[in-house]
Amino acid sequence: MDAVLPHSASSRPQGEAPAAYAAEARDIVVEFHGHKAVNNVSLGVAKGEVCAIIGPSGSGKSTLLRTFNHLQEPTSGQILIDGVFSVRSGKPTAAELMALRRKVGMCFQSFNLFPHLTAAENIMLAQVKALGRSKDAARDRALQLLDRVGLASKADVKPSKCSGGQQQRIAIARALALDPEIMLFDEPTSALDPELGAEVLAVMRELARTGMTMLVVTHEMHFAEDVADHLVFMADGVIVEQGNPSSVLRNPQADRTRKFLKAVTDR
Amino acid sequence: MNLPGAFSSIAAGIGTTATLTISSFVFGAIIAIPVALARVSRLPLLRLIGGTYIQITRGVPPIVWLFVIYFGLSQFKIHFSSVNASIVGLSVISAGYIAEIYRAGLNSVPSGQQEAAQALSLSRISSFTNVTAPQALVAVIPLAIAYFIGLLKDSAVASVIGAQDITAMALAASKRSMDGLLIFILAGAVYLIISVPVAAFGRWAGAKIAARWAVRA
Repeated sequence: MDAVLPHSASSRPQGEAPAAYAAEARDIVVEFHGHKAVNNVSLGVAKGEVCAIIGPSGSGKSTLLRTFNHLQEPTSGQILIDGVFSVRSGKPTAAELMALRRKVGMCFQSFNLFPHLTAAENIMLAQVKALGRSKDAARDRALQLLDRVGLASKADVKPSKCSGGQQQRIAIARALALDPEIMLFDEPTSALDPELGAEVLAVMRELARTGMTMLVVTHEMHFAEDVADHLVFMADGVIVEQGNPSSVLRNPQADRTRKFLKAVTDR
Repeated sequence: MNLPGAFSSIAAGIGTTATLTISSFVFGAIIAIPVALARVSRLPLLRLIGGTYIQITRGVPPIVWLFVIYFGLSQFKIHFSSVNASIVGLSVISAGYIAEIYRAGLNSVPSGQQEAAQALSLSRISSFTNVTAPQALVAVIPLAIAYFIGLLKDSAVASVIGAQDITAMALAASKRSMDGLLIFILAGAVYLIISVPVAAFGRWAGAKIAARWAVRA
């Protein structure tokens, strides 16, 4: 899979994006009380590509990720899914947001499983309420997905009875149940110890192998180098450097990237 | 007056006290739903209306509410029996308190739950009924039962406008017997006999629900 070349807004042709991008952020600005957390960032992810975003805390990487499913409303700029604007203009309608989020799944750092529902019920809820699947079909799908993430035995267990790694794998299954075209991961292993993180990364590797388009905010450099096709380094709300993961990680060009990577590898 | 006689004359008011408390609590809990939803609405005007309702109902003493409803409204040819006037007044007040309890329950649900529901493409209604509300209930139930006990005691104010509740019966008995100390200690005991089991039930139900739903309580 080819890495996405860096591009600026001005060099892009007007109108529709190339169909090569499964997901694209165009000129995204996110402002919090006058501070630009994301400052005019454009980023495209090709179909089947895994794109990792690294960078220090407060660099805007999670904020950028969250604009892809409009969990974070951008101050300006657009999100395109398969070359189509996800929001026509102005304030998105509820229908636009629901349609966007059926195509874009998401996993959170703190899992955010529903604690009052069992693992299977967690995975069934949106299938029934958002897709209108029957309960039987939704349960079949839930069991199949739990099997895929290695947790078939946990179907009727509440999240509180599962380890953090298991909870995150259930959360991945829950997002996959809507058959998304793109999966967003917001530091999926940051709340886990290394062993539990590894089992989550294994599920993500398997997902990448099956050709899922993935956008992953992470501090796992090994995973980024191994699994990602494209690596983005962000600092202070902008993309400082991006390209092939191995070359960015082993031969960073910008001072800011070198400084960050040195801090990571010197630990 | 002997002890059993005093007790039975006071106990005659239990039915009215129970009617006042349970009716006011149920009506209050229903009226509180739109009040609480207005209070947490995204629309500033609705938030203002909800907040104002809560301020006014909680900021005016119950006895003033009952006087306004029982004596005040009769000027406009609106006549309530003393029990009905008390139920109306206490329902209006308890709606203010219970709305704040609902709000506390909604605020107790971590914002990540709402985000996960949104990210899963759930509608606002589904997200509320399937994700937020069941979790809020865990926080609401113990608070609501504590408030119920408070309402049971506050319902004594209805005796002032002539409702024949426990307090009114005790007042009448004390005038007949001239043994106010015994009579009013008994009246207090009757309130305790009702409220202690209710409180115990509240603790049991709260723990039961928290355990059953395995929610971080």
